[in-house]
Amino acid sequence: MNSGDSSHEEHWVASLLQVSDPLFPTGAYAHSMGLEQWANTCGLKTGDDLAAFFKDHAGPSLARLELPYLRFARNCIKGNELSKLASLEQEIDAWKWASEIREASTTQGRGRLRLLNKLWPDQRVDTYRQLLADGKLFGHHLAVTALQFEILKVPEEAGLMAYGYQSLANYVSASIKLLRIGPESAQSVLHDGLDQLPDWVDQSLTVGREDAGWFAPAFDISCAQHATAFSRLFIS
Amino acid sequence: MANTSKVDSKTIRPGVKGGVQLQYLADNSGTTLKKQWVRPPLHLAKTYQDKSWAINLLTSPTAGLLEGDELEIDCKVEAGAKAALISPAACRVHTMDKGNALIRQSYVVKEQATLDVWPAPLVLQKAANLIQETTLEVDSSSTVLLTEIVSPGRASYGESFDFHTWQSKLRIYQSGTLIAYENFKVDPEAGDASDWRTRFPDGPYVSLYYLKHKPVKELIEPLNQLSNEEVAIGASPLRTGGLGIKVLAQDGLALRKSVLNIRELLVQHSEIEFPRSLQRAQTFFY
Repeated sequence: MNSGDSSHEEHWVASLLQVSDPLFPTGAYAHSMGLEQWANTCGLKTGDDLAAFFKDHAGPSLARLELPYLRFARNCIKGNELSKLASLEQEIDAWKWASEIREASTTQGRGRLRLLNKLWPDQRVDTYRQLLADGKLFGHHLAVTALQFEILKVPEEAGLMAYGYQSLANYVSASIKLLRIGPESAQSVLHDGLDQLPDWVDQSLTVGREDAGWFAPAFDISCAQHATAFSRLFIS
Repeated sequence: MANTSKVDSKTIRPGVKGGVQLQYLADNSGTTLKKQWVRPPLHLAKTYQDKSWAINLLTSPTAGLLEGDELEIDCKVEAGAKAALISPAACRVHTMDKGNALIRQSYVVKEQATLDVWPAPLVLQKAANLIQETTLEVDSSSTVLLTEIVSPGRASYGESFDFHTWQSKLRIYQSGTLIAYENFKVDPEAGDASDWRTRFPDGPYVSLYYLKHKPVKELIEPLNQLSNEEVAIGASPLRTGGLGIKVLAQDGLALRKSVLNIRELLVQHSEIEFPRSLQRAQTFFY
């Protein structure tokens, strides 16, 4: 059922819960999105270390880079400006400096697109898939997530919060395999991160296209080194 | 009275707006600097000719950039030409009351051409504000080494991350397609330098792009393996070919060693004969 067909105005909540659930099979479970090598490089061991990673890295990256681009992508989709979306995706592809992170983004985006097509058929999904097949779009996770939120009629700030939740939850999920952290401690760290998320969302709303960006050379180096690491649990 | 005029002269000092415009052409003798225009705060030394290359040294006669200064580098390397732009001395970005200095760079590299941009570090001194805008347009058949080195203060003065802001926007287009985009602002007081300082709290940062119409996969592991206790190096392939390389070093010595080691691997991979006079020219590293 298309969420727009429901007469219940809060139907988007159930759909949003479904697409944000770790069970939603986008392949995210196979990626640590850089945390594996970072934990190794920086000697992260505990929940406190993960909380510090959220504060110093994941949070600022969401606030100044990812969430603004999610908003820009959604505006393109809302305005049916697909040439602008193509230009935006080119830019996303270009700022994803580490190839593992870039590939992880398109893998997860295309997985999400496949499910979107299956569960919420929509002309906009058809159009996106056609442009992807034609090589005019990349299928980056940010762009497909924006498309998904638009189709599910998720309010803008709720969409930003949900994307932030998914990012933090993905790190927490990976951390259970990488750090000495149990499920309860992991939830405490996630809770701590989610407490800060509204501030990161608010900050992201003030960031324009010309200013969107984040400088994290040590994290980038770590992500690049993961590709040639002797052993690894995750694809990225 | 004397004091008043001193304050006034400081307050009203106009920024110096200058730079260079260069155009390199391939001809029978190799590469010729066909057109040049230069104006302070840059000085252009006489062109070295070595093999098929033209090598130019850019220096700052004003010993760095002050508030309001604008430096523009506009460089075109025409088809088949080989050019190197070297700055052999660190460029200091001085303390500023308010405002900023600006460095705007534009490089265009045409078919089968080669460009090596190899500067000494930019040094961000206490209370410096620097805005950088860099654009590189390169044909997919060409070879480019684009290096940028930033030091977070004068180490000999114990200065470290005391600058106000460093803003940088870099765009690299390969045959018209945007393949690398960096856009950031680092304000150490706002905590923006925490990642930079993770490995080496006071060390410099290097960004290097290597564009070459040839697979680069074989380079990644040897480049990553140059990392050691004094330097962290990460190399990552760009989507359409070429590499981005980032380096964080413990200090200036580790920086020099790592950049030379990286360049050795890249030059060898390029299968292009880089002239020995590059070493004579780049006195910061040799």
